[in-house]
Amino acid sequence: MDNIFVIEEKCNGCAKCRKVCSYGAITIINRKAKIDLDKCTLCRACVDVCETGAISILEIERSTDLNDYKGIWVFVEYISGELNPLCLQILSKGYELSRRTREKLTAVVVGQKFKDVDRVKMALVECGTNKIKLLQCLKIANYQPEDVAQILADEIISEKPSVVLFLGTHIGRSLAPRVASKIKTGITADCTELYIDEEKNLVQVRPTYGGRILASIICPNSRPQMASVRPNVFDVRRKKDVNLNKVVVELKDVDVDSIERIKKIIETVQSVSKSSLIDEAEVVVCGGYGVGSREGFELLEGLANKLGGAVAGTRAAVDEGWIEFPRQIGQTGKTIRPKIYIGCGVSGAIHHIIGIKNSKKIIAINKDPRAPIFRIADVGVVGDLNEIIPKLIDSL
Amino acid sequence: MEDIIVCVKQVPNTTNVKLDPKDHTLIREGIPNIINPHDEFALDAALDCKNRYGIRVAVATMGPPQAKDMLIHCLEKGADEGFLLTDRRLAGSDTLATSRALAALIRKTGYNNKNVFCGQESIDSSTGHIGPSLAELLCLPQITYAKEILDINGNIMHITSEYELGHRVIELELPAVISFNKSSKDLRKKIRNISENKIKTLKLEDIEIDESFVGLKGSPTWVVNISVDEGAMNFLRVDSNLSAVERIKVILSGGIVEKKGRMMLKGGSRDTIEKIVDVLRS
Repeated sequence: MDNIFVIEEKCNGCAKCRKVCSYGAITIINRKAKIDLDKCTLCRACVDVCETGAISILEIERSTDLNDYKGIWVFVEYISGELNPLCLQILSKGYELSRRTREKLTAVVVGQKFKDVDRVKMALVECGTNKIKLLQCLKIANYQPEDVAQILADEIISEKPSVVLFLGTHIGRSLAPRVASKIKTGITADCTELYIDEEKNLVQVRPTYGGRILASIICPNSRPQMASVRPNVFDVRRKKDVNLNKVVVELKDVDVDSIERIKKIIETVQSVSKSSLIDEAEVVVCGGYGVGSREGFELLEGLANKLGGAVAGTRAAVDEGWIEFPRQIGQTGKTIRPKIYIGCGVSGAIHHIIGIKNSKKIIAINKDPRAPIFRIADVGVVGDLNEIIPKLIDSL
Repeated sequence: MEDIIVCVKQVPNTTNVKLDPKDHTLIREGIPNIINPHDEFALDAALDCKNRYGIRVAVATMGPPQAKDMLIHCLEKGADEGFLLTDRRLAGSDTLATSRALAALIRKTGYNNKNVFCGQESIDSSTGHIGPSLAELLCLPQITYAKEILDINGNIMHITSEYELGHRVIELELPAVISFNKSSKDLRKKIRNISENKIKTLKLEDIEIDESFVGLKGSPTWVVNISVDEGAMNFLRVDSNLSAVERIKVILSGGIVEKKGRMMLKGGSRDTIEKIVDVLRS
């Protein structure tokens, strides 16, 4: 029995399926759709677009024997004596999920050496954590994924949580799939929404195909269900009445296999200061292909400085080498939600819009009146940024 | 330094997708297939190593039969051998199933305990999972967001890897799995012609992996729904409160509806600048 096939009696030859297939797997012959199984990747796009239900896809039976797995876990990064505050966003989301499933929320913090435990505890408990695991390991000075993955995997195998969530930083995105492969479970990257469905599955929603398609994904037959979430997708929500006594804190020393392996950081070159980080800036001035050169970005810096904001770039500007990758915004870059976003010479391609659409006010400056960015801008200025920005700086 | 196998993926060129003006669905048919851009940088990095250290470079892909063209392109740039893993039973593979299949291929072709290069992520699914998953399955150390190999002495490599605030220089004992980010370097050019019979085609039996570990059945995650991202596309819906004439105008203009309350300004006149400053100050 094929995994996917066309029920010919139901097919009306409308060809919607062929139009939506990225892989050239569908042809219409004698007004009936035909699927080439050599090319089909089972992405489901055709199934969802067919109005007569003529495409049948194999649905695997879902096992229900996963009741041993309970609890929502959120991995919290603790590096060089500091908790990554962006992880609190995931914790807040985890709290919401834990209320829905009526299971406990655990913050799992892995660090080399914990300091100021009370402050860490407070930050985590304010977001609704019921239990805190502080896993201390002296051997993880460089926070390498090979070691941290082992620590997490051991803990997951022993405690059996139902869900494990990660912040999608470089660390999180490098660590989470290693953990998932180690314990042979499913993982979804860069979710923009998470919720529990009627069958108690975690539904993981994420953009794909350059950001144009939203896929909803579940992991029905395997536990834990793992997912990473980009920074600045969810808000931090702090509870007002917090009872520290009700929180269970477990602090333990853990070990990793001491395989003799040479892997260490010998130099760190910081090219972006934390204070000018685009993640937390209230004003972001973003340059696109229209800026034209690295010198052009100096103009944008002038504007950002006047407004107390940060400078960022689109993928096109980063690819040209005019601004560095840590400042890239978009599907492959960062997601931001500043109070004010000013796009200069930015056309507004979808993969960039994803990164900025939650900004409170969007201002766009572009020579081309048909630039797509104008459609989502609160204020659109058709003109030359080289003329407008200096005048703006003078008037502020 | 050990030989390198580069895992590459053929992807639809997602930057060029159009909308069907009649029903606002994405027209995905006919989109050209390309080698995933990050993978091409990984290939170039491997070919640089081949030039400097005289090692062999293989390329491998898991994909449909037409992915063979991409492998030929890689061999024409200088790769020494190409493996196409193509099998209907691989359809529906999530990242765990894909990593398993690739790991089995790497073992079977004799490249386990050698270096694996790949792109940091693909432009269609953008998960970034394959590098770390492969590293775990092959029991190798990993580097992600790799920027540039600085030097290699014996089995010790110095490589830069990007992070949120800049980059780090890492000292690493090879072999390892390295995922490369795109860079602004120029891509290497084709250096020779290659005939397609240089590509070795493999199916599941050839890599000794059971079908229960791959494909739909071997994937713990499944897609249950696909929809066009309303948020990203909200400027493309036709407001049903418009009159019939207005709706036709919107559709004919490509389905674009402006954000409500939008202010459009022109040029750099004093008036324009003042308006912008007002908005900024509010």
